[in-house]
Amino acid sequence: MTGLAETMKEKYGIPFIRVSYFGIEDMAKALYDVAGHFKEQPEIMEKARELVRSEVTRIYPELQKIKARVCGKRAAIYVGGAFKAFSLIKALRYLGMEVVLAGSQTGNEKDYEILRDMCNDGTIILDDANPLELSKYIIEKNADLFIGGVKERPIAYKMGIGFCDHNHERKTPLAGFEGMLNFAEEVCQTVTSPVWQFAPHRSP
Amino acid sequence: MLLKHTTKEIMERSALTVNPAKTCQPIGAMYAALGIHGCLPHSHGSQGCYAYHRSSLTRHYKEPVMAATSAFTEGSSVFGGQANLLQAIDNMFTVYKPDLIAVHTTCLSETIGDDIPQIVNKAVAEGKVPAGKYVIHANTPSYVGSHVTGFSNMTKAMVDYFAETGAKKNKTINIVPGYVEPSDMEEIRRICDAMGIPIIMFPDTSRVLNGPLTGRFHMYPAGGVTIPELRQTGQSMGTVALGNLASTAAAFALDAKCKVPYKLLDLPIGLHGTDMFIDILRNIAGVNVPDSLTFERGQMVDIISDMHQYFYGKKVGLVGDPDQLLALTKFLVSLDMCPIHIVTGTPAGKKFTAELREATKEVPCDVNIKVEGDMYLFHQLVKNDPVDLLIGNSYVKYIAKDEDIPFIRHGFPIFDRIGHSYLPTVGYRGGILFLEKILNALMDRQDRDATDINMELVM
Repeated sequence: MTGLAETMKEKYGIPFIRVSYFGIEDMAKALYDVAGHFKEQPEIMEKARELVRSEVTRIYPELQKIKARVCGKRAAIYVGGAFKAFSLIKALRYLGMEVVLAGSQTGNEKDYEILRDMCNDGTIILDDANPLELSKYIIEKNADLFIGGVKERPIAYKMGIGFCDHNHERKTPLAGFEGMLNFAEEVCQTVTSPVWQFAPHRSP
Repeated sequence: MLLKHTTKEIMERSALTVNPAKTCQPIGAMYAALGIHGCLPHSHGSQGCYAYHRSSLTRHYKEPVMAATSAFTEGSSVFGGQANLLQAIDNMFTVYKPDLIAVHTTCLSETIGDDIPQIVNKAVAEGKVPAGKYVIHANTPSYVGSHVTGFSNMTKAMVDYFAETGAKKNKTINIVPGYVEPSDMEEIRRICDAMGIPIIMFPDTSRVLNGPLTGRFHMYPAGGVTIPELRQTGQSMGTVALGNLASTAAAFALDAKCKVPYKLLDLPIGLHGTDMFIDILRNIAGVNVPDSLTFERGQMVDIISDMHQYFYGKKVGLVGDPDQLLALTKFLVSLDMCPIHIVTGTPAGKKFTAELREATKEVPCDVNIKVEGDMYLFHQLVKNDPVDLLIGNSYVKYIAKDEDIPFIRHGFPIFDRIGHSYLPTVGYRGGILFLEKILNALMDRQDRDATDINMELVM
């Protein structure tokens, strides 16, 4: 996407802003950044502020309930683009969860610099990983949740940990404020599932 | 809308049952008796009772169900049924040649006060019981308890009449399987076989009520616990009783009579229930759990994990027999489902209610438990707080249709579907089959209700 935007700017002079619609923080920032671009129309910023306020007020109570249930759980993220990983880290932190592994298929050097800065010490950062590497570190880090694509789902389940699908075929949105709520609900549902008590490595 | 007169408003009722969630004692007694090899169940009462019990069992199993009746007339209703039973015993042994006759009583003969052992003694004294043949009995008045009580009473009678204390203990374990299907009994035996444990299971209706088409009619099919086996129950290492209501009486009687200690467990339904069962067997017999069972268990956990998002938070209404309800409720809770209406018609007592409360204490919804409720109340509860899934016997189909709720059949009777006689619910394999039923019901509904945009190919 960034490549396309850069080309359009180069060829036609159309400006672009890099935004993410995942998580409260990034969604709000996206709206403010866009509104900030139209400096001569301050009412757009007004409307953006009002929208963020009402949306956050709407989902906040529900998110707090979920946060109480998932707080302290450990997450592993492995997605296509690194930019999505940034948002996911923020969204998971918002829910009080710890990111113990982060990685992407297509991140570049600059992305990984940002990722390193965002993550705590000890977080494992992987580029272009394979299932064996992923499973090794997920077990090592005792993750409770894995966020990945379609083909990672059964891998997570085989290890006895929860999974949230972050692929492009989804019909329940994870983007936007509503999406954050959907995301939180999905994460909560899977990490708190009673099925994991029956998974061998979870048994005391 | 066949149940259109069911009101949403729930009125206090103490003296009226509408659409009972149970049936009467003799049905359970007849079912248990069919689990003894070569047994002819006998209903000591009027013809209507036995005809109803036989036809219910026949329709549920779609198998021949053989039984006899004392065929009370107006005369026997006044003067008692001794003459009828004496004649019946003579006829049965002469014409149908069973190894034993299992007599159960009915409301009528109980109200008259017929003393079955006295009548049987008279039959023996009169030479009506051939050598090596037996008549056993259980008192099964229908105005007490339910079909589960009748099952329990007849199972206990097997101990009372046959169990013998021996000089030495055998390596066998007794299994009282509880009021479960022939398929379940078969699966319990398969699990024990896999663990290398010799068992005596009583009653055992497998290969009696789930037999093959062979081109011949057998009055007494191949299956069932034998009389020599029943005698030896008194010399087993221990007894595992599955389901409090249906099995404790027999296990306790055996302990009292022959000093065979027993362990009481829930029915082995679901992961935890099956784990407990296998663990107890392992402990009593001192064996290891074979890899084959560990593998099956892993497969079951695998399915639950793959599909856990579809179970999560789904509300379920259950109606049925106490032992089944308790095990199923625990199973559903372990799937992250929310059993919110639980009704049985069997008077199962306060302890049972407390166990159900305990099993559902983590369920994040109001849970309605009604012990000695009926289908009418169950329907009202569903109307007030709708559910995603109903589990119960065939009579629940009317509620499911009226309220448009997915429904899976479990319990007794099931008159309108097959499967229960052949496919178990117990054990890991039974668990997988039950998971499939739940998922099919929920997913068929999701597909049916999906808009063009929301229709999912991959689920």
